[in-house]
Amino acid sequence: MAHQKIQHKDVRNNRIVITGIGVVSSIGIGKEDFWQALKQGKSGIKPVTLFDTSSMQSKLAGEIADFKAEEILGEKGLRNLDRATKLALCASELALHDSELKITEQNTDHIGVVLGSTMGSVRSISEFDKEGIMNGPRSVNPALFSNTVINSPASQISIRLQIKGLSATISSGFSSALDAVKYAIDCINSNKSSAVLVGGAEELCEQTFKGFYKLKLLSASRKNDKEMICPFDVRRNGMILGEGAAFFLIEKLSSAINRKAPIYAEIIGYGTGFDYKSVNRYRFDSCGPDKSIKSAITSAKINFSDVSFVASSANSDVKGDAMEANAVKKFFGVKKIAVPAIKSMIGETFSASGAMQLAAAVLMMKNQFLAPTINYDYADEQCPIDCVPNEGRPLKINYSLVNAFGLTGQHSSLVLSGGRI
Amino acid sequence: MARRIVVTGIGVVSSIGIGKENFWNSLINGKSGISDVSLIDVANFKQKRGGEIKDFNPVLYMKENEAKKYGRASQFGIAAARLAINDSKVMLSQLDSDRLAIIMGTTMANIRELELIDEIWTRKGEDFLKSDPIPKYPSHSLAFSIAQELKINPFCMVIPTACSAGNYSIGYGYDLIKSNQAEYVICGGADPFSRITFTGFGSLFAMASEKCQPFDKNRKGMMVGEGAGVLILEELTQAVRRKAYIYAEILGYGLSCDASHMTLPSIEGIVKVLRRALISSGIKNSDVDYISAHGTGTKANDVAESKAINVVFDGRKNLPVSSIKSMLGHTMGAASAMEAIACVLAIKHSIIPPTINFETSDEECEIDCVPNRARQKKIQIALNNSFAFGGNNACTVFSKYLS
Amino acid sequence: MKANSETVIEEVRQLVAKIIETNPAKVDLDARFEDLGADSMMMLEILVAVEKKFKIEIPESDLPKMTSLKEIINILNSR
Repeated sequence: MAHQKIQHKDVRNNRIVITGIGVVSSIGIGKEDFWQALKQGKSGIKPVTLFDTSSMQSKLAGEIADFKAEEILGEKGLRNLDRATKLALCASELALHDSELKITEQNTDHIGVVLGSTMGSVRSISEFDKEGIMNGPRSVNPALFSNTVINSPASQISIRLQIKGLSATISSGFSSALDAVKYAIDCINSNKSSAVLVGGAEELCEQTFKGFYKLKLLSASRKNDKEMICPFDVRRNGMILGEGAAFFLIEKLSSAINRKAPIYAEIIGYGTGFDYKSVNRYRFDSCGPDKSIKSAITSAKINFSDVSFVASSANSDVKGDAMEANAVKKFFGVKKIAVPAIKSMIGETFSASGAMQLAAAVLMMKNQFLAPTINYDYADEQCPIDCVPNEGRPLKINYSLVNAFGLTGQHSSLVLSGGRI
Repeated sequence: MARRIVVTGIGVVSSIGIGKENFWNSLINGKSGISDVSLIDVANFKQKRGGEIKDFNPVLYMKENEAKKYGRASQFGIAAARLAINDSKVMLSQLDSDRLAIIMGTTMANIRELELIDEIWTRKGEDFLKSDPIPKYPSHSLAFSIAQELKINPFCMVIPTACSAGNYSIGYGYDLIKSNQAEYVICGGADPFSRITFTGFGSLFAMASEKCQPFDKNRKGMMVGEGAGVLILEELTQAVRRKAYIYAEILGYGLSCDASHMTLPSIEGIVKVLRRALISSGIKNSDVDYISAHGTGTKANDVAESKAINVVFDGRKNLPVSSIKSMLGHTMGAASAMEAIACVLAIKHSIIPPTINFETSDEECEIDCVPNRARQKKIQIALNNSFAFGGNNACTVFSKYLS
Repeated sequence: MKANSETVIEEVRQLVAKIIETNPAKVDLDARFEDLGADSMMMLEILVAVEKKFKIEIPESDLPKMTSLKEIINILNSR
């Protein structure tokens, strides 16, 4: 039979805004506590209690002390959920509540949830496997099998919040959360969703910690260095891991205006840069960060000089911080722009890191105040940038750039506008 | 003028054949890829069989010292990607990397590296852990390793939405080209044979011991498989300009979310994803000539899928719905990509692959499952179903390309 | 196995109550788990938990019979 003519698909770009924020972090639960801590330069880094670090020289992490998911989620239905899922559930619940959007039978088919996560809960996966190895396949708890799929946290969010539009998980290493935002924006632009709950989550666990330690990426993992996280400082000797989750409700501007939603910022640009030579290692002159920044600013249709600050992904890695400083210097000049690194406070949260930085950037814009990079005492000539050392300061902010660079190969950036929308 | 997206290359690594010719010949001859499991120690398991790939030699697709850098899923993905790119007859070096993407779906990705780490950790102790397997494992490595091996810098992403991941990746590739963000997308899915998967489905009492029998009254469950399927998607005018062979067109796709149960399917969720796929493609349910089923062979899936299909297609009697999982087992993240390839080849050859091992019909599964023998039929439009753990459903729509 | 002993019944009651997330007092011998809010996944969990606790293997065919505390005790008695 004759093939039907394809209907013209309306895929013009919509203006996309952030109308809800939820954060669960080692320096504060909820956006207000998170912001107050950021502003004051509070550190969430402390000795790990979740597992035994006695066999390692590295012992610190941005662990969320006394994390009680039931305080946000209620008591029921959490028994078989892992920590990564609980972090994601809490942050997404907070973000949805913050946005004042009510999910109903009428709108649920147009709402989506997208999570940036590379590991899922590697602890759940590994413990399930180890139980089967040690005690035989009949000894595993079948209710824990579904925790071993990486899309489990996102699915649990959809079940808890009754989201029936779509659910997706995006894995792209360090840039996972920002790439998840990109995917979510594309869902809106292709008319699959009118609003998406999007974010990133990462739990602190023995598997990830020991993995990074064995790869000698952690501070103090190489020799008897002092264990600390001091982005851009010349003493830096490796990263300190953290955990957390940050979620956002993003939607079309028109829909936000219609429902009189609070608007935090507009996402006006996205960029990305893959460098196959930087898979599994930092490269000082990697082309990835350059392409990420350039394509983000180009897509935002603004000038480099319009950007007020760069929410940096610097995490105290010797090469990594220099790589980002080098890229920032190329496009923004030396010491001409503020480059705060919040990982100095919360640690490296891997797949969640882009989301944590996005939350920090949005709150800095809302409050017209820059959070500091803490633990900064000695400048490094390889990192000739203004990292807002140790004390925050007020700044008039119209546009900001959020980077999620790393050593997995893909580097991504977002551009935000906080001006009059 | 709306942009159109076509399939110009396919590559497949499967337990019934590596490469599109071997794969297709096996499909239409109803060849089973199920055999005794050798990749994991099944001494303590009740079930001993699965869809392992016995004859995969990674050094046919990459140098030996390169192959060592990658986990099994990545090796599958690289092999399938190379086959697909060669099939599309494109020189990658001539493509603008800003307009190029690699989107791969998976459930467990390079899980065998983690399983090896777990074995050493439990049996010997953590002091014996080496650092080599560690960077191979995290799931993004599935797509990134393809870029690394091909020495290209595209936009890379892994979508680990389990049993529907292949369709999610094909769908996102479609979106990227449709919205003029890409011209050439390497997309699909890959998964290796996984002890965790084998253990998990066994623990749910959802796994068959002998054979996979989708839609059969006496079906005992799914079976674990492995493999990779990669499709090359291109924007139509570019494909035509370079005189590419066009297998089929992608008209659209649908996603839905059950929001009900982590492991049980929902008829409502399946009905929604089918309807959304039809709407997104601008077609009516009467336009569909064939459905490649999710058809895992579990009691729950097959009845839910049959009922949902009958709701959406008004109980049509002349709608063939076959499941190639009857031959491959469930290849997890690769499944819907391999099923997409089956759809594309079915359209090309006007033959529908069968559901094998079909012995007794189930009155709860009132569909024509094309039992045991392939069937000649002209196919204009085919649907490709996939429903994952967590209720992530995806359905892609393929059509014969009419110039 | 002397599964009628009060200890065994109580152990199974506590195990079931934990999995269904309900008050053990509600888990009477005859109370149907489904009525107490148990879904199919919880039923599987109960089966595996009983197997582990009493070091027995319960075949898949017994799963549909495990509808109440009394039925589980019957299964344990038959070992």
